[in-house]
Amino acid sequence: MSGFLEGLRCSECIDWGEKRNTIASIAAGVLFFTGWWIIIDAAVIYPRMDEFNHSYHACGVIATVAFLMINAVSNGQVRGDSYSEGCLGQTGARIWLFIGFMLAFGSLIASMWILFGGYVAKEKAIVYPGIAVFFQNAFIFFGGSADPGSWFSNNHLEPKLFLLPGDASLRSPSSCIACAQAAFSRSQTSARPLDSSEAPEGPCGQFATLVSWLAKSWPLPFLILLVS
Amino acid sequence: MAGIKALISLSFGGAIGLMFLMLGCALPIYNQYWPLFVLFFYILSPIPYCIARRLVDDTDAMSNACKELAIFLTTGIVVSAFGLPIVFARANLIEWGACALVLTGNTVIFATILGFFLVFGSNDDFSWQQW
Repeated sequence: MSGFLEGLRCSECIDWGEKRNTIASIAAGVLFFTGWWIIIDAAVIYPRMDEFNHSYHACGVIATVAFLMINAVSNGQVRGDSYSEGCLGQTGARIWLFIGFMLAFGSLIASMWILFGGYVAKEKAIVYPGIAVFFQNAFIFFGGSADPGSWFSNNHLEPKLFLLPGDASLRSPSSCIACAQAAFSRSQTSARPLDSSEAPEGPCGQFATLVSWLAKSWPLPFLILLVS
Repeated sequence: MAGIKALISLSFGGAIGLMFLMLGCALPIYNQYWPLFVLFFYILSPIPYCIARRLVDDTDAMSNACKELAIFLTTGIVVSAFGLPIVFARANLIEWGACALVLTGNTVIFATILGFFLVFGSNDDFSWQQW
């Protein structure tokens, strides 16, 4: 969705790259949270289970998890041309993105199934909850694609929260060639590649460390379940 | 100080916005104080952007990602502040007239907060000492 703004770029708009990111962030935020408020509205108005089965909320929750997964990975990490590989490496980033997309498409399809199978086919008198579930998931899906941090967007060199500090400053996709030249010259002169075991600084880096710890420790809940 | 007129007009805007909010709650035909919950969103809304501004400087590679996340969260808080009165009105907790007054107050308050950031926010050195 941030792609169509490319055509609007004027010749002397130096700052347009930055503004486009801001506009895309705002659009993504509006869509995502509007989706959630639609389902909150439906849940408030139809509290009874026979009008609105509240287990349908799972669809929106999975869509949100998928949105977060997709936005955690940058395009550069998947293609393998970023300056640092992040926590999981290129293959890990591809698998993460694959699972994220599967969950996103799955929740969108599930919301359509809920609308048609749960409400339209049963010819229920009150269809609004089904429509609300569908619109919630549709808005979350399109908000996720509009987000400039997502894989869809044109900001393919935009660094992510999971890249370590000290990476090259990549600000706008219009400076691709300059970035590539700078990167080439930097690779000629740099002493050593960025060591991914360095402790990242700051809360953003600490969040990245937390998520990498979580990603490495995923068997732990299953072990706990087995033991108990 | 050069910004004293801006400060006064922003504080006037804030007062008008809160006036609309209180009208929506306290008028005798409405007399429901549920809309005061949007004050929570008013207070939360500048926080993500302030945190992002203080944590990263402009030349850092992570500045764009942190700022975009902050803008995303701020937009979410603003949408929530608009959505809450609408959900209240649809659930018949408040009247639609009260909802309209609260939404007007929301618009004025968020315009004031945005104006505050535009006028006073673009400093090289974001410190509290400037006050």
